[in-house]
Amino acid sequence: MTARVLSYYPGCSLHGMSREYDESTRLVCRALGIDLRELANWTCCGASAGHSLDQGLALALATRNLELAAAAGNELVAPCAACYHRLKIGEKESSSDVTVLHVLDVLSSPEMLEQLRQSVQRPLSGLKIVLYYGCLLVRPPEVTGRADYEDPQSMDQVMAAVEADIRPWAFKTDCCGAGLAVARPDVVRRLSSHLVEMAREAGADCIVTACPLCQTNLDTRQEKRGLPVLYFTELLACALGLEGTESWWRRHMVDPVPVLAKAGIL
Amino acid sequence: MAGLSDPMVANRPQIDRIRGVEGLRAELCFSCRKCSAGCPVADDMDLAPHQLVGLAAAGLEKEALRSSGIWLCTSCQTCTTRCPNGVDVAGVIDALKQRAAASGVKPGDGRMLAFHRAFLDEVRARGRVHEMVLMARYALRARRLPEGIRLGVRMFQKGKLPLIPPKKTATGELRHLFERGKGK
Repeated sequence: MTARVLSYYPGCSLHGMSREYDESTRLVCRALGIDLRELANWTCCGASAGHSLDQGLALALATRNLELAAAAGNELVAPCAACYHRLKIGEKESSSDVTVLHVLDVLSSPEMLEQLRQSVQRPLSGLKIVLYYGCLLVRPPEVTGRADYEDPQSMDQVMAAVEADIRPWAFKTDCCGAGLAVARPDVVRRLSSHLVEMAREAGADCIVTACPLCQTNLDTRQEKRGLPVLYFTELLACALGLEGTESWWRRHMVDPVPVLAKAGIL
Repeated sequence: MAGLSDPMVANRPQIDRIRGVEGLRAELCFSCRKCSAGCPVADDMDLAPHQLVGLAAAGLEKEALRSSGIWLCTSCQTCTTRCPNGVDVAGVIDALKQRAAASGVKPGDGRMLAFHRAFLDEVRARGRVHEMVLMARYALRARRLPEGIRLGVRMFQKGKLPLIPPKKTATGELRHLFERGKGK
């Protein structure tokens, strides 16, 4: 089977505080025959600061990266929900013909789900998880093109393919407030601690995310009895039995090792 | 809420109207308040989303520019997604933030404006955002230590925050993008 080639836009967080998301995304994609090629000279998408202060600049920052992807001639994949959202707006509002995807879009195709099912080395059946999609991966549907924006399914499908014990909960797309994390942590603490509390009530051993801002925000604001917050790609790497996962766990504020060990995954 | 003849805004240059801006559709609001009902931070705001849209729809957006509510919006897009009339509520709030920042009105939440400015300073200077430098820029802009400084130290100890900034990327090109947006 020939490898699927995609342009890769890691975004600032994946080169900074969320390197384990970058590393796990690359590792899993490589194992599944997806060739991620990082865009040379990519620059920040502008994030919430861009569209809060200058509409024209926000669009220009996104489309600059789309032009790089157009020159490379491949679809563009972003693992960060916030980057994905800004690039998706660029796709919609500029004349660019580059298709912007989130990693979940790539991994939840029927062929990829089948390949995941075939490749499982360590099923995650002992791990109770809730899936947290957050905001910008799914909303608004005019930007993301998703029909299931109030109850998204792509991460459910991917994690079901590796046999995780997915617990239902009603907070898949409630906002964690990450954009206010630096300047208004008082507001953010209320939002994020409510999500953690609800995940615990749903019986989860951990929260699973697909965004570096959600992961960091939920992971860094917990008191003593913490609930680990993992990237879906980290768990996929475990399920596929891939080497090179050890260095990720110590970068989590709430140590996920006890939960993973208890579930027989490590 | 500020009075209509408030000198804080009356002496400023005319603010562009939001009513009638294509794509935002503020004028279609019929005050059902669904936006505020689903907003994760409505309780923290002085003016809730339906009130902000209502002012914009009435052509009274000047009244909203000093609101703290506009800066507390997390841009989660729940309001825009759920509006039965297709009003881009989060887009209206963005438009209010942009006008508030450009008009020089005292911001309703100076820390959030300082953060956004610090973030764009960092993008302009480096092309990519380095978290530690962003925190330093925020501290200078906001004239205060970041509230999460103890958390920052713990994250650094965990090895989450790289110390060395990445090398600059395409900063010459970005300078043009930033200059081109000026005065808009």
